[in-house]
Amino acid sequence: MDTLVVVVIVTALAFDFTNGFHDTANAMATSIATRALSPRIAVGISAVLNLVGAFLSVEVAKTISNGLVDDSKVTPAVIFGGLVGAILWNLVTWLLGLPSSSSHALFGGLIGATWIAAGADAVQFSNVVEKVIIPAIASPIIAGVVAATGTFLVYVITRRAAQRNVRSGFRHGQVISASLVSLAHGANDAQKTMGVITLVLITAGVLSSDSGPPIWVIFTSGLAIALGTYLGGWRIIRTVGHRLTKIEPQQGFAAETSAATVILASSHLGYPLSTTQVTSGAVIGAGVGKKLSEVKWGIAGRMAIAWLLTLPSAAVVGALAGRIAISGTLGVLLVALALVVLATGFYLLSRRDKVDRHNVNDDDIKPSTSPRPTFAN
Amino acid sequence: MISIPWADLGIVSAVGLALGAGVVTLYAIGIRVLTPAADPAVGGDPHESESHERVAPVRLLITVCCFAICAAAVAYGIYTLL
Repeated sequence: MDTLVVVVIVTALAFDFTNGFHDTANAMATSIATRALSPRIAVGISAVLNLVGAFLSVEVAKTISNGLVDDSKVTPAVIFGGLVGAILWNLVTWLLGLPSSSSHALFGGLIGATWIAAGADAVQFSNVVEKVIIPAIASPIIAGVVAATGTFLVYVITRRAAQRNVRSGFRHGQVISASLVSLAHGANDAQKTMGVITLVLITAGVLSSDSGPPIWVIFTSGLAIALGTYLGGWRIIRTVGHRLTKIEPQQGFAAETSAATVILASSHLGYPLSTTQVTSGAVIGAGVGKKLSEVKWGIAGRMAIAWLLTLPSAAVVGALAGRIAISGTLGVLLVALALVVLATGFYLLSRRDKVDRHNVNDDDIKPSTSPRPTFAN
Repeated sequence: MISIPWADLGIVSAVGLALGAGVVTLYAIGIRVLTPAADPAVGGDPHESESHERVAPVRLLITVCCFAICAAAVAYGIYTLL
């Protein structure tokens, strides 16, 4: 394998890792917020189920771009550019604590990199509208309506019951529903990385054109997403679990069950929706179902803006990275170096207002009072 | 030519609503049947009320049926992933 192939595989696994920690909130934010599970146990269960999910099915999408770009124009350098765009968008939204779709970030990056490498004709804009923009609008609405209906019914049915018993019962239910979302996430999202790596190996001549992912690809992809999940995107967990609306166990159960049902139904019917947008919409719906005013619409609005910006932002970065990467191995190494520097920068920035499993459930998290790190001259 | 997949969206919405809200409702019924009503004379704040009353066998049976259907739905969900 040449240097480019190795770099692309490592970058794909890095994307998978960011996908894991970015999306931990999808499954576990409400369970952590209602204390159905302790933060450490929640991310542990989610990580294991993401790993298991990666092995459940290897029916990798035939085209990693989902028909958004002409796959014959996709080269390892283009994939690399797309992955860089997706990773950087994932890190920016993580730093801001905003849940956004990793799949849309990957698609955006690939679109940008393909456009710059092969021209606008290589991008199927009608498919972009049909497969990204319309689902992005529809998925939170569908999940929100389902969760709002479920939440409303739950409160109507249980309003005369002893509330401590009710909350305890729904906390147990939350563990099951959140676990199902984790399993579905592992099955869907780990396969994207498997598809990317398999395509790179095929274009490099390591695998034949009709090959499926080798076992080491399945295992490393599952492991990367599980590891990312275990580290937990605590900033996004805080947003989904606490900042969107105050979540009670009844709402958490309704939100996660609705999200799991919509994700599984849409995948089964061949119309997969973004896990992030579905779960975020479900959490908002759970807030609406109890009391409309409990939803913090300002935070929801910021989230919606992030969703709108995901595709174009990742596309711009993907285009820039792809333009440099297609110039040759030196270009690829330069982009890889820039990615490492920027990722380190984002990590250091996140340390200024650290959110982790110890303070994720604190209502008001103040910026750290510890002195900023000083660097020796 | 952009075509909006109304049929797909409609099916996902209908299935999501029927199964998602359905499972949540069944689980809530199971919990409600299992949990005796709050006694305002004893409990004070209804949000903090708790009961340790013994559950009648019929109510337990109804709860088990509700939870069993929910468990079957979860199992079917996992099956669709395979």
